[in-house]
Amino acid sequence: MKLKATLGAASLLSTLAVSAFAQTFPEGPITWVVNWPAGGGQDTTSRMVADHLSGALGVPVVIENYDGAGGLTGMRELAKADADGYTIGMLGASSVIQQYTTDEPVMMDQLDVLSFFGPDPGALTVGAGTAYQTLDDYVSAVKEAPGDVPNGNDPPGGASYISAAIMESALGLELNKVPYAGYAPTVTALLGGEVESATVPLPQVLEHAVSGDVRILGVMSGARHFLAPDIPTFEEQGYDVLAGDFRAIVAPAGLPADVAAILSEALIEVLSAEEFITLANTAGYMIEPLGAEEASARITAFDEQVYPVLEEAGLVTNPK
Amino acid sequence: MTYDLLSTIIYNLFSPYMLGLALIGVVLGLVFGALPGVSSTMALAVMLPFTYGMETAPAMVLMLAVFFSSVYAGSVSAILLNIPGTPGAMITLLDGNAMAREGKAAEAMAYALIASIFGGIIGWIFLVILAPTIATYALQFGSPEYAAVVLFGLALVAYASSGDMLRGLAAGAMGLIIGLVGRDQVTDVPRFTFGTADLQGGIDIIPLAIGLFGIAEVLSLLIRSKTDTPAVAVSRARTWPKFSELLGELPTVLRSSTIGTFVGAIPAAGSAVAVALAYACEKRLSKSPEKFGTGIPRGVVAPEAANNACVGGALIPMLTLGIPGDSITAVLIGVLLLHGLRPGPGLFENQPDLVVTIYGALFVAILLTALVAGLIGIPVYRKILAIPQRLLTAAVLVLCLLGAYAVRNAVVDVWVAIFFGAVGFAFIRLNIPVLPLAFGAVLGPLLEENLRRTLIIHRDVSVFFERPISLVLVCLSLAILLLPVCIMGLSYMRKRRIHR
Amino acid sequence: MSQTLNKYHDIQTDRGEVINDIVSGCLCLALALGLAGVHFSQAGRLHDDFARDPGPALLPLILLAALGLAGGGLTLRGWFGLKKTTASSNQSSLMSLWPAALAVALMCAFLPLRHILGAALALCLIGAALAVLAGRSDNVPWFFTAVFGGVIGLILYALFHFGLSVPL
Repeated sequence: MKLKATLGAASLLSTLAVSAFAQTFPEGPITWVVNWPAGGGQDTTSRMVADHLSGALGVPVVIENYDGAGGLTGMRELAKADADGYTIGMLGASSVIQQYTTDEPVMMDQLDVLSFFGPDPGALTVGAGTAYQTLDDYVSAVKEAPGDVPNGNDPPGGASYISAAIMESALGLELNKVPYAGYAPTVTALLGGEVESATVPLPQVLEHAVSGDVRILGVMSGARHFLAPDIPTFEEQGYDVLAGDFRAIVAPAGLPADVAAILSEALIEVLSAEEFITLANTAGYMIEPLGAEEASARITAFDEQVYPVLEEAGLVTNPK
Repeated sequence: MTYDLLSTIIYNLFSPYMLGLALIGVVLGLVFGALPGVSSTMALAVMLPFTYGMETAPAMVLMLAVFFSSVYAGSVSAILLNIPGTPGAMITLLDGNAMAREGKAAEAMAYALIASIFGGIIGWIFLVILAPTIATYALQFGSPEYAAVVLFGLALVAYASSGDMLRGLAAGAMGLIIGLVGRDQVTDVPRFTFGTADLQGGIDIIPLAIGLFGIAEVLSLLIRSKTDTPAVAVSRARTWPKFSELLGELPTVLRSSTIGTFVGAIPAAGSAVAVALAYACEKRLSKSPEKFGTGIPRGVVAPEAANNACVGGALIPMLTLGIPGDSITAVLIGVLLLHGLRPGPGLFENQPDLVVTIYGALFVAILLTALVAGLIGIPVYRKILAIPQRLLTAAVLVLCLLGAYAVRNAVVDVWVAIFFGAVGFAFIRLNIPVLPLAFGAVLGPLLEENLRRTLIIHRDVSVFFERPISLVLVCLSLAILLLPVCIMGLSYMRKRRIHR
Repeated sequence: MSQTLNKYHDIQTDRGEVINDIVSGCLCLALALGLAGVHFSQAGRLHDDFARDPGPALLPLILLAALGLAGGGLTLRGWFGLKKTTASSNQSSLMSLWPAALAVALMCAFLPLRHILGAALALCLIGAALAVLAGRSDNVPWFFTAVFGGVIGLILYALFHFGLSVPL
């Protein structure tokens, strides 16, 4: 009887200890690693989430920008941090791609996924001065002159390059993929007529489409973009192309299960809040709050989709 | 735009709340910008969270105040400590620090401030009057033109840097090779990374410049014995130049500001190209070009006017096209996006009040920077020189370490700064000019990327001679590069004839 | 232009400049050869054919050639200069550069020290050491210099760490 009581007390104590740990989890400030410089999309979205997450958890969430090596510096900083939940960060499509294209990469199994932030689907945009009125026009024109239509995109391995490559392989096209250092120079080149089309995400070209300087021929996602509900998807037009960037929130691998759960729940709560969605949507970001498992599945799916494309483009230096 | 709307906006801008915010922004910009390694972008990003809860107008007032004042303050560490905080300040330190070593630090800062203010105002006038026109011109700037303007810049730097030609060529080649380090922008292939992932992102220009100019300078001071003259004399010399002297610099200010505005308006061109063009242009036009680099005000005025005119220039593609010209305007667009405003071609028609508010906010920022920097900034900065030499040396070296790290929070940048500190020191000892190396590293990647992109799009180089802008620029560059060689050949032949 | 020519004359007649020519020429040659070795031995896609694009391997080649030529030119000029000039007695020795070398070593110690002691202490120690080094011939007790140098290190640390939230 006494033994049982002691045992009971002990087990009670241990549950208490666990829950006590869990309840006290964020005891101090949380560091949020951004693997791009201040001012970009990754940074802006991170700051928005961090600001609200800080309110939900009751501790400061401090942004740290690590720039360099195409985002790899920040990912390495995140992967090597203690897996105690006090260091988390954001990850994009480029980090998944870099697993196969760089030396000393950060592999996805070095990270635990906490939640999904949202997709940033690619879109196909053409200059207003070009002859392409519809997606059909464009596809047949590219097929007639393989390798001649200049398309503005990131350097090889970047998100909009991959979008173009996925479109090429899905539709059997061959573009002249012209690399630009980021979305802004790509859009400038599109407006100036240096390239005929571009595969940057829709928010980058929306205003120019409204003013009539460019035409958006299709969105590479399952559903229409909330910012431009009148622009059809590729699927609706009979082309099976799904491509684009995405954002997810991750932590170093080996996080204690209860800490991961607290962070994951807090993130979902923040991302699902009406106020946050309004804020993010006005800034042009699509929100899709998914838990750890679904987010992991999304990232794995992207991984499987992108690897053959990279292989075809001859970019893989670090094979699976 | 009705008169009522205009007067409401102006009335709002000069309300105590707005002026107070602008004042805070200017002071923070003057503190942050003067620290080496702390870019204007970083100063703006630190302020970003404070703008979440604000209305759009006060947010823009605060951000533009930080923006403009931090661009001016970049010249302070260049002049006082020979550390360029931004690529735009790499030219300012040539004459600015030389003036400071003559005991005219305060005067150099005053010249920099006056040039910055006038440069800012001229850039602002271009922005207000000609924004759509300049934007159209900027869009015509494709890869061939871009490659040509960078080639022109390199030619001008080769021309502007004094010293022996063979050594200049060696330094320039080294700089261009430094620019190759990292992943190639066109094919994503790593070059000269020596198998480390740290160098894959390339060598950042700020740690490089911190080492090459800041650390190297301090190292060569360290080996002097006490009997030598102090590096920067504290003097009771005047701060403000005479009106007549300022009047003499007016053409320089006008030319440099125009260059600064137009180059600033080309997306992603950056202030480094603008200051190189402005400095070399002034040196070319000067009657006594050999004085450049020895501590003359014009060597400070030209780059500073161009650098600050870039602010107005960079806002042109942002407001008219919604395209950020650099990382600083990218943060500003971020602020507008968070307030549900999407800058783009429709902004002028749909949101005229916002456009006018931004114009007004920049103007208020320029005026307040003049006031605060002139009355408080320069006297306080000047006090830095009152610190004993031994402590200042320690402070500068520690600041170099911290500044190099802070640029990207990357450990490798600290090593880069120390390494190039040693390289710069060796250059000073061997009497090799440093400027070709620094500008080779800045301009080399831009030239290669645009040249190769031109080939990818147009297939062959004849396109450079088919497009008017690039044709003119390429011919000018060739003239600048080949002229000295021809002159040297001629004088050599003449000498031989005399010897015979 | 005349200025460049004058300078050219000085370089030919000054013994110190002749030595500079030889040293920098040899360094450039060594650098060009070393980097060429790295460049040609690199595996992967560097030397592939990129169709329209001249490829990432071309510019390094041109630049290494330019650096090699400049290095060769400097060495040759120095070699001829050696014959034209006579050695002067007041050549400064390499030993006089020790304060600079020590300062570089102290700065190099920052990153390892940061690992062991944390950034604040590391900067404090380095600041103190650098101040003592810079004030080695001043008439001030070295102890005070060290204390002030350490305080400066700490102030700058606080400025970057707390003021700018730089993760040091």
